[in-house]
Order: sequence, then structure tokens, then C-alpha cells
Amino acid sequence: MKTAIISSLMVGVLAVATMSSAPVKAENTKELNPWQDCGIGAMIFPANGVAAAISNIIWDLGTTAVSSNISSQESCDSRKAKTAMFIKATLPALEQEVATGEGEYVTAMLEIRGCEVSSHAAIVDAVRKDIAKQPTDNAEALYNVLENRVTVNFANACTSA
Amino acid sequence: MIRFFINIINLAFCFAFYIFSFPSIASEQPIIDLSKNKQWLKLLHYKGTLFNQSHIKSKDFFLSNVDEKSSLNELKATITALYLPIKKSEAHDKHAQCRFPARLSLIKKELDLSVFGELPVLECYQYKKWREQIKSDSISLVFASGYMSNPASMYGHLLLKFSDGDDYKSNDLLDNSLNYGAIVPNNENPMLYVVRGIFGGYDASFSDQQFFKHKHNYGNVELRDMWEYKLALTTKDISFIIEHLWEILPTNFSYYFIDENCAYHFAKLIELVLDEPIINEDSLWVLPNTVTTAVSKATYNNASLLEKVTFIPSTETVLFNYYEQLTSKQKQIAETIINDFSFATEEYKALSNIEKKMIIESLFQYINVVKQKDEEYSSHKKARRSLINERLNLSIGKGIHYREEKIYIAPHLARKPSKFSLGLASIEHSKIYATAGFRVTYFDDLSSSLGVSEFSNLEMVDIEIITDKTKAKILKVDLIDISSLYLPSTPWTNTMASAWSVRAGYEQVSNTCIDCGIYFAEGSFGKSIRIKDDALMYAMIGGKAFFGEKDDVAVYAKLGFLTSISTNLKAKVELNKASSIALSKSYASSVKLALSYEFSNDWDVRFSLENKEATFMALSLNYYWGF
Repeated sequence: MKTAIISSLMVGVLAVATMSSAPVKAENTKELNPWQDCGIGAMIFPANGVAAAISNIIWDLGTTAVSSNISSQESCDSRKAKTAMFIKATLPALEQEVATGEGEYVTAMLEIRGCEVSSHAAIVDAVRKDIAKQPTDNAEALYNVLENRVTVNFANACTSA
Repeated sequence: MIRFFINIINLAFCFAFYIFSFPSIASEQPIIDLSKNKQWLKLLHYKGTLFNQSHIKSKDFFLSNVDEKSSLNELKATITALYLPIKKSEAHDKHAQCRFPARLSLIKKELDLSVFGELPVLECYQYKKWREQIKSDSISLVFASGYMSNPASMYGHLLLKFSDGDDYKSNDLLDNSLNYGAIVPNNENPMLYVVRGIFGGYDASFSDQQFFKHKHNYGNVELRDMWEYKLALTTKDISFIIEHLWEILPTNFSYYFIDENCAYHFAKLIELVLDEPIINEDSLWVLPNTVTTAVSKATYNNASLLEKVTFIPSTETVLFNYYEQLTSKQKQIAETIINDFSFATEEYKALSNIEKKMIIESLFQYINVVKQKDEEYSSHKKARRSLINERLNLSIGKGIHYREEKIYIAPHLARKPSKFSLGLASIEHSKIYATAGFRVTYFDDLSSSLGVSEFSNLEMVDIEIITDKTKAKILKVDLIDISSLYLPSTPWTNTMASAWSVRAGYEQVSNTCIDCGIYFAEGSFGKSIRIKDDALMYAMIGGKAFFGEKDDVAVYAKLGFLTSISTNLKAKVELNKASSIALSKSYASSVKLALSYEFSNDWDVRFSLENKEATFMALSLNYYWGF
């Protein structure tokens, strides 16, 4: 009997409680610029061993918000923003692998961007050709080359988010 | 009459709240039993066997309102909270079911919840989203080797890594990893950093990141090799650990470098799903290496807990590996390229494409290492750009790969860090003394270098007592004795290997007495030559300050030779020459010979002969142990 009463009470309360609607996500049609919109440009990465050791041991970029000046946390949690963060964090190793045309950092970058494995070689080949014509000397430039290639030539092989 | 009804209603409400909060006396026994369940106690991170005090400082981790955080109070409060109806205006994510998924899993497993009715059904949006990102097919402990540039990292560091089940995947950069560390303010005073790290004053917390951030930080920036210890846990147990991570990620702990550090808390996390603890709760100190050793010996489901150990080379290790693969001619051509990074020489142009690739990819590693070691090296950007441009002219595909030829011994195979010793000593071959010693950590250059840095010494709190039956005296105390006698130069830099040492403590001014002690601090640096694989010659200069009855400062030079005569026998000879000092003129020069014979992993016997005004000869038997 006790169980029945409690159950009834709880089911009733729960029914009322779950009537609240799920939050509506705002549509954001503006093209994301992770460097400006997500504060990636302001991120500081350890440049040398001593700095890395003395700075906070918990070196956390986080997986969601990355700046207090974020226009949209949802968009900064997107594949594009995560790709930008990855490039920024690993640039020296990554750009060497892009030049080589293969490697774990290149593969990881394209995985984060949501590109099918079968398209990786072609994307890297295209990015290499672009960089050979117009060298990139910072993370944002490399991101822009990649994103341009994905948009123009590999939209079907990579997710749009 | 109205008042009577009001009282009745109040009583009924309180009764309903009571039975809602926890079951009647008749059915309370299962709850009492669960409150003593090992896993429930572990979920609350109690300190030792005091089941009312937790390592977790964050108040909102505890749901019971009473001051005494007993496991029973917390269990009752958790059950109550799990059943709380969700308020219309509240997000489900704040509900106990969403905040404490591991508690929920355990309670569901251990209690018959049907007596309380149906649990509210909730949509834990944030937890679900986070959980979907965490791979849970396998779990590994990752050991980052000692980092001599930071006192807090000399003993190494531990991480936890979660991976998917694909053994043939291209890389593990996107695996999830968990770090634990002190929350240190930016630009912290280094002295405060040490004091607060050891004696308390910092909060600490767990943080989850993708593994590439650690691989980059430890492997590419700090140039530290890593070892991955894959554990043989079932996916069910891995999931339970992950559920608990969600509970503790927002919480803060107190940080103590010596015992409540990353090693301790990762051991506790793993123990969550083990029947027996892997580290002793009463350990006075916990080293990362202690945990890897414990993991290698622990059992799980009647088999070994440790499934596999994988070496993850740092950029510097990769550079040496690549360098060894190049021919003399290729090395020479690479050296000419380093001068101006123009690739204009005829020798280079004449190379095959595969040889060009090998050289450029080796130089990529060279630039990475030089940049980290030499902050003044400003031309690395231009050099890297030139290398990239040249590499883009060649076809896709690596020209050189890491070859696993050299065997790197994993740290869990290292000798135990603490030491007891007993021995005999004589001064000038006349009087015999008994000696006893104790060392807290970690290894010295006469020990086997398996699992630790070669030709290195990392000892903290090493005490030796001497007695002649009538009186006992402290012969020496090394608070710290750290040296790295072989830091190989980066390929193509054409310099000798470096050596350095730092030591501070208490010692006898002369071998003629055992009560002429003085405090000292010294530091030296120099060069070394590796004569063959297991022999090293070094020369160093340094300064030494004395404090005590007389204060003094000396400049000194030392010349040493360290070698492995056989697998178990090591020898070291060291000559010291100091500037004339007021303390004792005869102290100005000394010569010392030391031999160590290791007859088991836990035991060795050592002989030393030192001439410093008088001849001091000692024989000791040493036992190595760890918590």
C-alpha cells in the first residue's frame, strides 16, 4: 500500500515536471569564424617546456566554450571550431605532416572535421597543392585553406557542421 | 477541531516525507548493507578508513545536509534525491540522476528499488552528450617519464586514457584522456609553488581532454617519452569508471605533491572496480611509478590486470631514431642543409627522392627539438618553412619511419624506490663502526638503470647514521641529490653531451671525524662522453656553499667515470678538487671509488672507499622497497 501511494505521488509529480518543453535551439545562419567567434586566436599554448611546466598543469581547452566572448556556444562546439582548435594546438607537428602528406595528426584533423576516410588522401593532396602555391605560416591560414577545399571540393565527403 | 485536522495533515506529510526519504526500519537493512559496500565507499572518496571524511572538498558533491558525511547518511540522501520530482523550471541536468550516474547504477544494482516506486524518467542532456564522446572499449594508464626541468615532474606523471576497440586504428590522438593536477595560479612564485605543493594550499581537480593535447604537451613540447599501460578491464567496469568521472569532474580535491597526487587519485579510480587495493592507503608517499608497478602485479577476474605496455616516443627520441637510420653521407648532407636551409648543394640535388624525404623528415624532428631546447634559436620558423616548402615538392608518403630497434624498459620494471641499509665502516683501517641508512626515493647512478634515466641520480631524503657502540651520529643527510650525467647533444649540433648536478644536505667536513658535520648546498655542470654503451666519463665544475659553525664558499671541479662492469656490477670513480677553503684545507681534494653488486631486484651490496683527509671504507647491504 505504502509503495502504491508513493508511486502514485511520484508518477503524478513527475508527469507535471516533464511537461516542461525542451529548450529551443536558436538557429545561427552566420558563417562561423572560429578565430573571431570562439576566441581561438587568444588562446595561449605552451611554447616551450618550462612554460608548459610552470603554467597550470591542467592545460584545458575544454570541449565546449573556449572564450568568455563567445557568440554562440553551440557553434563553437561544432566540428569546424574543433578543427580550428586542433590546428592551433598542434600546428608544428601538423603542418609537417601536411607537407609529408600523411600522418596521425593529419588523419586526426580530418576525422575531427568529419571527412570520410576514403576522401583523406584527396583532401591532403589538394591542400598540399594550395600551400605549395601560397604558403601558410600560421594556424588560421592552414584552417582557411582546408575549409575552403572542403567547401569547394569535398562538401559531400565531409559533414557540414 | 480545525487545529486537530491541521495537526493530522502535518503528521501525515511528515510521515510521507519520512517514508519517501528512506524505507521503514524493517526494510532498512539493505540500505545499511549498501552503505558499507566497498564500491559505495569508494564512490565517496573517503580518506582511509574514516568513513566520514572525504578527499573531495566540493560541498555540492554531498547530498546529505548533516555535517557528518557518513556513508549511510549520504546513501539515504542520494536515494531521496534520485526520486525527487523534477521542477518545471529546472533543467534535468541538475537532478541527482543526471549528476550521479555511478551512484544510480550501483544503487540500482544493489537495492530493490521497487519498494520506493518508479524512478522519475529524465533526459540528462549534458551527461548524455558528454558520455557519447567518451570511448569506453579500453582504458589505459599513461606514464609520462620524469621531466627534469620541473621539480614537480621529476618523478613522472600519470594520465588515464579511454580508447575505442579498434586495435588497427591509425592513431590515438582523438582518444579521451583524464588528467589530475593542482590548480596553480598563473605566474605563481616558484618558492610558493614548491611549498604549497608539498605542504598544501592548492586545490586540485580532474580534467578531461582529447589525448592529442597531452601527446603534444609531453611528447613534443617537454620531450618526454610515455608508456601506455592498457588495462584488461571489462567494458562494463570501464563504463562504471566513466560514470563516476562525470560525478567528480566538477569537484575539487586538496593537492599534496607527496601523497595525494595524480598517482594516488588515479589508483583510487582504478580501484573502484577492483576487489583489492593496488596501493596501500597508509602510504606516506605515492609515486607514479608505484602505481604502474602495482598495476603490473594486480589481478582482475583471476588474470593479470595489465594487458599490454606500449612505448610512445617523444619527438627527441624519434629524432635520435631517425638519425641512426641515416647513412654517414646523408647525415653530412643534412648538416650542410642546416647551415642555410637552401637545398642548393649538388650533393643534395643528386639524391634520390626517397633519400631527400628521409633527410627532410629527420630535419623536421631536429627543428622541433632545437626549438624546445634553445629558446634563443630564432630562425626555426624560417627553417621549418624552408623544409615544408622543399617537402611539398616531393611526393606524398613518409620517407622514414620510427624503428623499434632499441628497447626502452618500461618504468614498472624499475627497482623499488625506497631503501634501508646496514653496514660496516672503518676510518684509517683502525676503528670499526656500524652504519644504518634510509632513503625515501628514488634511484641512484649505481643502481640498475632499467626503467629510469641512464647515468642519473634522483635521491631525496637519504640519511646515514654511524655508531661506534658508545655514540651514534648522523654521518650524512642528502635532502636532494639530483644529477643527470649524460644529456646527449642534439644531432648535428656538434657539441659534447652535457651533465649537471644539484645536491643539498649535511655531511662531515673530514673523514677523520664523525661529529664535524656541516650543512651544504652545491651545484655543478659540465660535459660528458659516452665511451661505450655502458660507460661514461664526465668533467664538471661547480660551487659549494657551507653553513654551520663556519660559513664558507668553494669552487670545485670533479672528474668521474661510471661504468657497468657486468650486468649486475657497477663502478664509479670520482675525483674532486676544491679551491682552498677555510673550513679544512685537506678537504680541498678527495677521491672516491664505489662498487655496487646487485644480487636480486630488491637487494644489492655496496663497497665504497673515499679519501678525504683520512680513508673511509664502507660495506653496506641495501634492501629496496616501496609502498
